[in-house]
Amino acid sequence: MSTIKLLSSDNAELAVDKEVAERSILIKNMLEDVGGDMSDQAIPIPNVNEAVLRKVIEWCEHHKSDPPPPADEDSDSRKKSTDIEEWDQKFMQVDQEMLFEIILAANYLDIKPLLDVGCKTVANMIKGKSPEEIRKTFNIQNDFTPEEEDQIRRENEWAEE
Amino acid sequence: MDIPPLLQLPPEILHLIFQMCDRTTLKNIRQVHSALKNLVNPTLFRTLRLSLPYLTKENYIVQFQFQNTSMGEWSGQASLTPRDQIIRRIEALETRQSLPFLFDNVLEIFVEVYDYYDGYPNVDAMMQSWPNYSDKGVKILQDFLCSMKKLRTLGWQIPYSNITRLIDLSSLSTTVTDLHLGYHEPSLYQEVDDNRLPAPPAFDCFKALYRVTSLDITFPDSGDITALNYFPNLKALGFNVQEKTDRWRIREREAIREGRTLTPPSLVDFLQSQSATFKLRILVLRDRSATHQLSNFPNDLTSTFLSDLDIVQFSPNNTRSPQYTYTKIPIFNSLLDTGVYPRNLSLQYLNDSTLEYLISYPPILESLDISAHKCRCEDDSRKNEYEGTFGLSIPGYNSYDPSERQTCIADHERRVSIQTEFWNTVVVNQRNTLKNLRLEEFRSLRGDGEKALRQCAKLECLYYTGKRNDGNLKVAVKLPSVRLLEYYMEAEPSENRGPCGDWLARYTRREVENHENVCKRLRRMVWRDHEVSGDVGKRLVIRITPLISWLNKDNVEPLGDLTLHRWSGESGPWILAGKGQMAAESRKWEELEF
Repeated sequence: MSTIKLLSSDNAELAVDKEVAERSILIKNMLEDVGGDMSDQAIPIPNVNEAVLRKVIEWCEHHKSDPPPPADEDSDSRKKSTDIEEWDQKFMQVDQEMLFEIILAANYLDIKPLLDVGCKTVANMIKGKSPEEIRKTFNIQNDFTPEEEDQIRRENEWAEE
Repeated sequence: MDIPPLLQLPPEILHLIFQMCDRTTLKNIRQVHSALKNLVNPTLFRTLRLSLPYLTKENYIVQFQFQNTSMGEWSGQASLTPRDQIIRRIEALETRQSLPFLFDNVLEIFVEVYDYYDGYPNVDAMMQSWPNYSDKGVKILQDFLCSMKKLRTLGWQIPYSNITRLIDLSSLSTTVTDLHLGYHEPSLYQEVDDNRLPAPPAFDCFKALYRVTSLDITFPDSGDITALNYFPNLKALGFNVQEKTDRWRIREREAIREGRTLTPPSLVDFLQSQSATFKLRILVLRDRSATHQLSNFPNDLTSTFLSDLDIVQFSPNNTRSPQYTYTKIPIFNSLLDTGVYPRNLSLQYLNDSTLEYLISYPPILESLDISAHKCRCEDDSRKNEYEGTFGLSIPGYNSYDPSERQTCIADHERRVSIQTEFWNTVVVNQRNTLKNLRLEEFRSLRGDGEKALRQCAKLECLYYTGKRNDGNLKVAVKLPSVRLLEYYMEAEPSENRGPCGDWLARYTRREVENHENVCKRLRRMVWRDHEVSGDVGKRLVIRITPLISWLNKDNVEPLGDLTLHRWSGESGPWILAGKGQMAAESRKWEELEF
């Protein structure tokens, strides 16, 4: 199995199986563009640092033999479910900063299933919480006046369940 | 001060996260921070369902039920009563000043109930004009709808009234491309004599929406659709005439007295009344136009409007009669005569007429959804009719009437032969193009089915409603290219009543037990290498939905996305693995050593 090298933003070189790296559509397309031969040269990943890149590679390793999503998979069913499989749940047990970094890296590297898992994790952190609890979870300051809050509640009445 | 990391995520990622949240959560997110509020708006207010069971300020009708009870959840305030809520909405509609958040964000609006009957000088005047709206009532809805800046989809359950004759929607003409029209009798319509039955809704106001590309319409048989005749850009049409409405019955009685016959409006009438031609790409027929009952379907209409069809779905809402009779269906004859062959076809049933059409197909069919013929003894709607008659009038094989039995046996024989023809001609002819195949009520995938399916090199998705045995699953996993197998499996019937089925004994406690047995059996199924095609583990996702779970039985486990995987390394046989119980079972398999 052929190996390729990735160069993180902080100049760390990581060796990865080509099959694993190709979970990233960005890297896959890049390799296709250069005819697949990148054995002597590291591919620069300028937006992702070493720690995050290692995490992303770990995820790709674990999911390297996942079947591709079925052709008729509609985006709705993907959106509705926030079920996360056990391994991924454990994988995502990181601090918030790392979680957001993984999401950004998945977005940049075009790894849709990882981006989904990341977003689902954040969605699960928000679900069922009051506005105040959400602020606490994500360390956000309330910037509304009481009048504005009242206005928002009135507007929300238009959004039916 | 540092910006919190969540707020630093790019908007497109935040949108992805919001799409995974329910509406209550979205409402709470709006209250967290101004930056989030503006980002949530397009998701939360994308679709608006307007439901105003109101009447007038003085005569508020309290007996209506409301869905929305989630107000003021986190506000610490007492929830508003439904009455206050409706009044507040009406006031907002009247002034529109507080609604820019809707006008800027709503892409789809569905007007479900709009009972605004203010604007009359007094209640007597209102009741006199009932169910017509006052000018004010029309104007308020008109101004509200026309304030939407990005409205693409307009859905409307139009009440029997004057509103669609008077309202002016022309300022929506540049944005609206999707139109979903239904109707309802006025909410407060009570017993009045036949002569005072209100007139069905008109469609005059929709002429202005000339950019509509997709129209879905359900209207009563007594309605007049000839005003709905200018859609030069129409590409998709859903069409449904509701039959036997009250007003129709009255007209029918009159017609019979006068010796006339009445025919309800059909797709033919709709197409004939068009003042501009269009070429449909998608056609969904849910009424008798899709059955043999329509007397004729002119070929010139097919050539003009239907020659570019790509997706056709026939799903008549009254499926009973055409299922047992193998008569010709005019629209299929017309499609056949004019050589119109959509690549995606969904048929309610396989019979002589549809089979003839399918056999004539060139090899271009990509997706086919078809239900096999059902014998009348297997039709649930008929069973219900005969329930409680102590078996004296049971249709079909078990009937005491010999001619009934003969018909039933003949039906069953034809059912076998027509499916054989289907596999050997239709599927084999389409073997190089067919990607999606949905089969319902077919006898088995074995034999002719297996032979034909194994030739389909591009078949990706197979949907199958199977009965009783899981041997079909064994056939399906052998297919070379299928990536998704959806298998609706009916549990073994607890009591079998002859060749025609099990109708008396369905859905009992024992059914649930039998379902559990089916699950057990599935968990124990193994495949050897020669029973699967090579890359099945990487390729195939299997969804097995036990039919019994449709009945919301407790403790029935749906078998979600399953995959085949090997236990015991490279050489072991294949087993089904997935979530829940299946995951636990597959782990047990893993632990076994042979």
